[in-house]
Amino acid sequence: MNEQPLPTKAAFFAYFAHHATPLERQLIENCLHTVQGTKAYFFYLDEWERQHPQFHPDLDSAHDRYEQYRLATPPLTSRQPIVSEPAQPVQEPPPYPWHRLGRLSGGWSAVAASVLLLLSLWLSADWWYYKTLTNDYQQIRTVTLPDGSAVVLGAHSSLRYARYGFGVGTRRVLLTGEAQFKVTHPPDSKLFSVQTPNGTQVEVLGTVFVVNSRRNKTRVMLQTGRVRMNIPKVAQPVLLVPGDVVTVSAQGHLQKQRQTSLPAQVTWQNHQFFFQDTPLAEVANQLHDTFGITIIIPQTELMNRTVTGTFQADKADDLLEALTRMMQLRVEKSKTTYKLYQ
Amino acid sequence: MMSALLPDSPGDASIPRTPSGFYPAESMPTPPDDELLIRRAFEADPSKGCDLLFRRYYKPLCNHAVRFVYDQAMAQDIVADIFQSIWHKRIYERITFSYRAYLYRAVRQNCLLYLQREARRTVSVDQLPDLSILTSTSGEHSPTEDIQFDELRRQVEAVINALSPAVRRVFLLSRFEGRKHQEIADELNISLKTVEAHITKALIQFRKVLLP
Repeated sequence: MNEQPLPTKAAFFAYFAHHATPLERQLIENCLHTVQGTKAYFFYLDEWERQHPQFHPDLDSAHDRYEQYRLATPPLTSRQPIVSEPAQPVQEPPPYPWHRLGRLSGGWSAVAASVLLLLSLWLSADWWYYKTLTNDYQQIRTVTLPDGSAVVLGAHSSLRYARYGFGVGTRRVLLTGEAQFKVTHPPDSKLFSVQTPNGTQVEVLGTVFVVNSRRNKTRVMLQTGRVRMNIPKVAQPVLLVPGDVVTVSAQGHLQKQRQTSLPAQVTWQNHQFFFQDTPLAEVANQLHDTFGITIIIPQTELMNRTVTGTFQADKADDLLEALTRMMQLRVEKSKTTYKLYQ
Repeated sequence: MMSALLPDSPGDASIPRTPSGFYPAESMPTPPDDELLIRRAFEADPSKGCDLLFRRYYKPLCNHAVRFVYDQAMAQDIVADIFQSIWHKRIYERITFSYRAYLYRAVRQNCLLYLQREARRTVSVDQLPDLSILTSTSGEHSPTEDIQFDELRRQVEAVINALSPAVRRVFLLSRFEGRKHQEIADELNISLKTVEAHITKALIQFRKVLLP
């Protein structure tokens, strides 16, 4: 039993302010070994904190939130002894859940079974977490997300979003291919962000825009509103205003242009193609992306010839026919590929 | 008010000692019925008890938390979470020693977890302090831990004080006040890059303390 006298209030206060002498500190450390000393320690700590405020939290609003929480969340009914810690608000999920599981259940078979269950859950986690919509070639469809945002998903593209709880937290979707987004803004709207395979992230600040993420490039065209792009290799986010077209290359290089005739750029939804001094090689890429056909252009100078115009085409053949007539080309068609000659 | 009841110098030799070595009840540093009102409230109506506890300790606990995390919003979140689990997990039924001691210790533990996570250290299950011991009847749970937290608080303060004035100002605006980097840059007339560099510098210092 500790026979030493309890430290004085002044000693405690000096200790809390880090001004205590080594002797006082020793005294306080000793007193923490006793029930009375511990009570005194926290009593004075509380008093000291009340006398030395660092800031003034809003008690009333915090209190209201706590009251609402109590109304919404009844206490747990189980009267088991505590297994977990009383509060771990900022705790990350334990890195090895089975570690704890094994301790509780005992027995290797149970561990093995749990591991198997976890493994299968983990393997199918994608399915549980995400809903994936995939379009075939030539297919275009309009999707309404759970939050009411409309997405026009282009041909040969896929969109992934959280199956459950979309709109709780960030409204994040993953896009491969091309799509136009019309984002809604409910009163409590959360950030809407589109991620593409090369790591680019488009954050929506209110808006209609088109994202194209083919060939590991990402191209964003903004029609109305504002969006912010976070690009892995560019430190600062890029802000887009209507009319901007930003292209992020596979190497992470950034190109920003202003399109004067923007509406035409986004007409792919109506099965229209818009080209403006577009090299034939790029046209071939777009045909591949949209219709899944392979176009081979053996002559380099032909590859670099440019096309300008708007084409209506529901099928690849329609567009190719128009192109060949206009540019006086020759097409050699095999089962899977088209070869273009001058 | 409460302190007026307390002897400023319990070590005074004139106070008679009981055979156990403790001071008699009337000269104990904390009045014995200090938390009795709250305890009665919990027995009658747990929700009312939570209410009283919250009103009484929310502010000083936030104040205490902010000394560790230097982030007003985070400090309030940490404290609010503790009160939520007191209600949700019926912890109030198990606090037999002292509500005050439990609350302060829980705040400290959760601040430490937050800081460790800030310093990019994964906290494994085994490392997690077992907070259940806090609710136990004895106040004699590892007294060294209380000391260590005071030491940590001192170190955090020392890191803040050792920062150069410019870095400290940016860091406090960002963390303590929770301002956006761009706002700080605009207010102090410096570039966004400088703001980021200052904050990185400060965080490196913190990491040194937290990851010896």
